[in-house]
Amino acid sequence: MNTNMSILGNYIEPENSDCEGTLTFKFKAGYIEKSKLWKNKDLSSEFIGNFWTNVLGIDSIKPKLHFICAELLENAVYHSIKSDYIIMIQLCFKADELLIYVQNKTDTQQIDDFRLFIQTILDAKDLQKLFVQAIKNAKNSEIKKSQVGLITIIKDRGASLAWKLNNEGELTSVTTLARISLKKEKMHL
Amino acid sequence: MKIEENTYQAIYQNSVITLSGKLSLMVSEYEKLESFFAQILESKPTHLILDIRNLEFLNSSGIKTVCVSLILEASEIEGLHLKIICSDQYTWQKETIPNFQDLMDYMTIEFI
Repeated sequence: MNTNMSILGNYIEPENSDCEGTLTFKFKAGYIEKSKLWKNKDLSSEFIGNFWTNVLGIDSIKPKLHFICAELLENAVYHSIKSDYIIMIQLCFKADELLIYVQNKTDTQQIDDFRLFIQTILDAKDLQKLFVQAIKNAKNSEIKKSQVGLITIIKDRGASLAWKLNNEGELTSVTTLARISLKKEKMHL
Repeated sequence: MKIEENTYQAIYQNSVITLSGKLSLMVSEYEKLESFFAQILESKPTHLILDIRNLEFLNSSGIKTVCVSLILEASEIEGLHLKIICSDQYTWQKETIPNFQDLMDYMTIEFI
């Protein structure tokens, strides 16, 4: 494996995941005005939710996909906003699972803190406790981002998360993968 | 007191805060709602109702804003009881709102 690359969580490459179908959006963060980029994030997320609900015939997947795609894209937009790099969201459909990949590039200096937070989430035995702590920390800190979104994706939306980080010098490519089991969704039909 | 934006509406009337529409704003855009909650709490109410039955979507920055600027701040006001009225028709409300219970003792969450 590339020594600049690290994997956190149960990550699988799209080309190794035996997808039945994919849907991909790519856009250059620096090219679009911030407010329009934000609006596009909502439009893309709603479209993805509607598109796959229609394909799968599982209504419960729509709000789940909408929230997860929107949260991952929000994170990508926040961290890429000053750059002229491509943000990509790709959704892969397997027989028993949906895979959502969101890729962006971020400042390498911020990666250690991010990695520490990811590890805390992945190791957490009590996500409700982590949620409460994140909210209390947000109250006592000047930092605007609370990381509540990633906790909510796992805890409330039932997805698992994994990351691929690729150090490219000043910038690091971050690919976040959210995995949604369709077995659980079909059981509720 | 009222905030009316393209995607959402916030109204405060007779101890009831009603949030409706879609709240998927950028972090900085939540400052208006933070001030709205702060103004309500400044009057030191003894009871408040947060009605989100018609709130279709709430992103994580919105979750943070409601939890920090309303619930945690309200929990510091002695004698204040907060009730959150939710809707069964929105899955996200059923999944996420019960998490708020641990933030304030004197709070009830009701689904209609």
